[in-house]
Amino acid sequence: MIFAYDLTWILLLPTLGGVLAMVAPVRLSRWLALAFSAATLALSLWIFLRIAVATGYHFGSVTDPKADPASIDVVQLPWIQFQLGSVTFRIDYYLGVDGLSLPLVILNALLTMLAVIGGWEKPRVKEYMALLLLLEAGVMGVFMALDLLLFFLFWEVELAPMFLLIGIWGSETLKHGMPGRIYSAWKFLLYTFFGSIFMLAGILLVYFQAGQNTASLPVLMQHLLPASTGVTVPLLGVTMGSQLLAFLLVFVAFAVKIPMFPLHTWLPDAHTDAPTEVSVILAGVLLKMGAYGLIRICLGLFPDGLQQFAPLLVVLAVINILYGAAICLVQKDMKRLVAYSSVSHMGVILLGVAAAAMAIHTSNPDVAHFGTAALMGATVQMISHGLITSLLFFCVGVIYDRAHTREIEIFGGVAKRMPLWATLFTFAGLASLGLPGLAGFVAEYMVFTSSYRIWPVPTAIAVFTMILTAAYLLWMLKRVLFGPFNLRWNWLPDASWREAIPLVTLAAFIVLVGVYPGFLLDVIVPALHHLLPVATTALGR
Amino acid sequence: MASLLLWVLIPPLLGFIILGLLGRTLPRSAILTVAWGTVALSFLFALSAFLSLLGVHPDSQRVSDASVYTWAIAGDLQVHFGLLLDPLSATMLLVITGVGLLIHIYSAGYMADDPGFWRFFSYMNFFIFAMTLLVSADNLLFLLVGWGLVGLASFLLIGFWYQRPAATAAARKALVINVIGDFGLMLAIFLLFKHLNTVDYGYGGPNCIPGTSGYGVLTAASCQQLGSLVSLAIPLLLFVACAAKSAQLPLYMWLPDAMEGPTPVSALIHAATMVTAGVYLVARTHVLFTLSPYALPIVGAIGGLTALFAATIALTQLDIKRVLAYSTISQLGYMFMGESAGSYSAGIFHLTTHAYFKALLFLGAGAVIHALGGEQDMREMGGLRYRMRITFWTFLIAVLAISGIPPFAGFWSKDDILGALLTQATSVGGAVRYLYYGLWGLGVLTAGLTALYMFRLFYGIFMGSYRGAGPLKHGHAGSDEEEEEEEEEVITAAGRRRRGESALYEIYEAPAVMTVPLVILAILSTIGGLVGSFALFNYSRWQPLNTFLEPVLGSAPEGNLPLLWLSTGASLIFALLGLLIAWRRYGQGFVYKESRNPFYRLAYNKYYVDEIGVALLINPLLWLGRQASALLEGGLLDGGSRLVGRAFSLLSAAGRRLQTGYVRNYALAILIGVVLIILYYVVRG
Repeated sequence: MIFAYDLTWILLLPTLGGVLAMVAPVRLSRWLALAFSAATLALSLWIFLRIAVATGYHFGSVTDPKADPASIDVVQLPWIQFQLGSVTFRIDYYLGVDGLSLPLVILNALLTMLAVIGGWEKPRVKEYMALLLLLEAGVMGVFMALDLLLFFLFWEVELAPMFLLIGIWGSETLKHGMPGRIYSAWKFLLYTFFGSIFMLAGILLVYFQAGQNTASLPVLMQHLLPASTGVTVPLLGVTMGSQLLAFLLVFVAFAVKIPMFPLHTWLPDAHTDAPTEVSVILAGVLLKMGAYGLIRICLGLFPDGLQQFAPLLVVLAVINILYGAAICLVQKDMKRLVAYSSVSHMGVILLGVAAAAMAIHTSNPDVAHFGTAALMGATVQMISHGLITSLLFFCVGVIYDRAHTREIEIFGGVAKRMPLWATLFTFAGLASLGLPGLAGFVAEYMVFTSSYRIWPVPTAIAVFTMILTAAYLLWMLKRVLFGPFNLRWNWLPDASWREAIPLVTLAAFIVLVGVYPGFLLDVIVPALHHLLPVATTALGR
Repeated sequence: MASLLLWVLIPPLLGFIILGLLGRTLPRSAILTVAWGTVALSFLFALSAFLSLLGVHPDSQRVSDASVYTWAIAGDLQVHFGLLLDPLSATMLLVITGVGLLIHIYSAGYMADDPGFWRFFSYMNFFIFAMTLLVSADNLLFLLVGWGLVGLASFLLIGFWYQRPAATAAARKALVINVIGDFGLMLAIFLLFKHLNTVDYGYGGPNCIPGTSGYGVLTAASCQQLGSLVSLAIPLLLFVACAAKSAQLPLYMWLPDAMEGPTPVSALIHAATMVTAGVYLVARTHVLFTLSPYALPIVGAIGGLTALFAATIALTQLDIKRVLAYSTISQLGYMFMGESAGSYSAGIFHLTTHAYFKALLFLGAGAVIHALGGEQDMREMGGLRYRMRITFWTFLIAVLAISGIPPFAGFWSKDDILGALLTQATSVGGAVRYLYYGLWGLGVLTAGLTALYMFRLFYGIFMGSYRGAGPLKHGHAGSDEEEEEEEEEVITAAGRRRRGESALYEIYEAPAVMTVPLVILAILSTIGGLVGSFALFNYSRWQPLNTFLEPVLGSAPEGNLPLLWLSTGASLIFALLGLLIAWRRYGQGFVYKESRNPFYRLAYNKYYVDEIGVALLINPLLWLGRQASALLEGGLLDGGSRLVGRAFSLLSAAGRRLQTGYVRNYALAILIGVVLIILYYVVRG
């Protein structure tokens, strides 16, 4: 039975919660949303603990056929199957979590719960809660799907609630002749859709080229597309390896999501117009879908393609990092600044993946081993960026809810009235600029120290960007929190208990990951170890 | 044994957490118990670590390394958090926790009226934690962690009075420049890691096999062949970090501004301990600096230029804390000069004595500022010797010590550095020796300038007659927003404030909680130099500090006696000359004269380095950001995507025209189509 699997319930709990929140009376619906999001978090933690206890903290890899079944959690049931002439079409209900996806599942559950707490007093709260929970379910599906077509399905499912969340609860500021919420929601939808089309084409290419009559990721990883024999792209007339072609198609979708320069312009708009909690989910989890796909699917299925693309990917990664930071230097809106800092920080993930892809190419075992470290750093960056940027967005949200403005210039000395909030905001800023001892530093250090072995100059530029990051974040903190107190803000109350819960929770995790990253790394490492050797053998052919 | 160091680290961290979480609700006595108690514990543990090290024989065995936990393992990347106890870290820990404790005690008096009392002590405890972490880490990564955290502590404490725009601007500047240093340090670490696959220091002699105990960057560097470019790049990148942290050219700009923080902070962080982290790093990684023949001369040249440069600025400043700040920069330059001559222990020796007398100078200046209710301008001082006896005498001792007058502490350590420079100049061959001669000359000249500006400061504060108008009424705590209005009120209420002798009687000596640390530091500044070398008196058996540090830092080149005396004599003559000039010009009291001398204006305006930096670096970067934001982001990318949308909507508008819904239009279209097809076949035949 499909309901006997706990992964099903990871999808079902938020969905049920969403429906119930919608039909229940308003008083109840908040508590229902909180209960169901908490239950999802509890379930995901339970899966984590069960695996940790059963195997003694050895997490496996879902794509490894030899993995200890206790070290992963998988469910595979046939779903759609039909024959059209010689073509068999098959989609499985195939979900799985391992060391790579489980932290993201937990992060998603955690952030959604915090978002429910954060959005407690929204107008039209029933619909808000319902959509937040449906969004959670969609994202969970993306992180767990192991069938490419199922993956694509969930990839699209997540769009609808997000579109509505921005479009209904977003800001009314006029943008190009329409309310910002409408403009940004459409922009988000169109950009993501644009990418999805290419991804679907890529997935179908893989499905039919591999000829396995399945879109199962582990199976396809055993039957990689040929790297050398080429296909000619119809319209362009370019001949390239079919793996590279499939990679490029799928990658467009991920690049939009990450977001990678020059496909990133939807992000600042979506962030500035989305309500606080939606921004948190957007930055904390939705961007990670792209990064996760890049690692799980692109590195798993198209190692050669990724590798051929890697030199270009490095350039794009460095542009992301530097360009995002440069734009941040002149932002006037706090949320826009944080949004562009996301662009900059997500570039670190691209750099890590590119370095990992290059490392598997080399026959030099020394460099090859640091591919794991680079990929590790990229994965940790997903988590730490999720935590840190969410904290930043929550902090900006607190002041926005009171002052109804996020203009940096008009604040000043707010720390006097809001000491708790100011402390946490400063903390978030420091974590974001990569202060040693906090989560961001761990990830950046691991990526940079490994990528430096392969690309010293691009890495040096990326590290240099740290200085810019410090400059713009400190400028923002200085203008908003410190300096002469602007009496206009004398009425501001400090963060309430309800507001402080998400802030303090996230801050605690940031310290934990920064001081003792081992507990996270041990979870992730086996999954990545499996991913890289597969790629290495693929190259050995 | 090294695990003892964990107990040096933990108490201040706990103190920070307790005060940070509960400080607001605690009474003053409890805050002080926690703040003083944790640092005192830390000091006691550092002392016992030091004593246990002394008990180990032979000297070369005085090293202990303990891994506390595994920070990260990913592939071949393995980093442990470990603590290293050896003579160098023990010396540094003693200085940090010892001077730190004295300054914590002093702060209770200085900060007594500040509403942020608890916050101040929680930051100070955090600083002690971060600094002890920096010097006791056994690998470069955790050195970097400490390096970043002390920068954070400095940021928090410079911006402690966060309502003052100058303070928050200074805090930001300090942290950004520190991050530039972190950038250098990180690149150096990456480079070392790339070539040696480790970031541990390593110890116990050359051990060239990776993975064996004791293998690390310091041991491996000596037996691995690094390219000449890499072996120069590593020390230079490390030195970028040192220059940022220790305020050397051209990254020194943040330190004078950092004086916006409370004075005890300036004493602890920006004089005695944090700014010396660069000196510590050079000493710790000196093996790497000797890999390339160019590294140490470059370090020396920058140190020497900084020493002179900062001294000339100090000559013209009027704010007493700024004089001391430039003097700190200058003395740090001295330490780097000493290290560049291969005499690392001389650098560390000067670091130690400087910690005593510069902390004393700052605390003395703090007592004066406290007594004057926040006044820092030398023009408003004078004659304070009558009212502040203890401060006066202890300040005099510190001034004598920094000016290098025997037998005070500064004389011995400065003499060590100058002697080492001259020895180096005579013993090396090639063109480098001219550099060392030049550095020695710079050092001697700077010694004279140091005496000149220090006595100018001393006369300005304590001698002559009082020029001010009594203590400012609002106190030095800047956190109440009514500060500006209040000052005006005082002036209008009292009409013109009284000036001169009668106002002097409103000034009182600082309380005992502040003067006791002054006296202890004065004693240290007097006798602290005696742990140095007596080589000058041809008695080289007495050099306890050098002998203690020798297993880590190696032995300094032996100088010959006449040369050492020549060096000592020259620096003494210059120091006395400086003293004499100061006495002639300012002995009867400091008189400020606006000078039109262009050199004076240049130095007074700090050589316009800040303005040049803004014009050359910051403005272009901001311009770049603005252009990228407007043209690329707003114009090309965003505009482009809107253009695509626009194109599609135009296209569909055109398409919509076709679909009118009128049957006659469709019929016409069908007709035209049929005609065209027929025509096609007719024409083709």
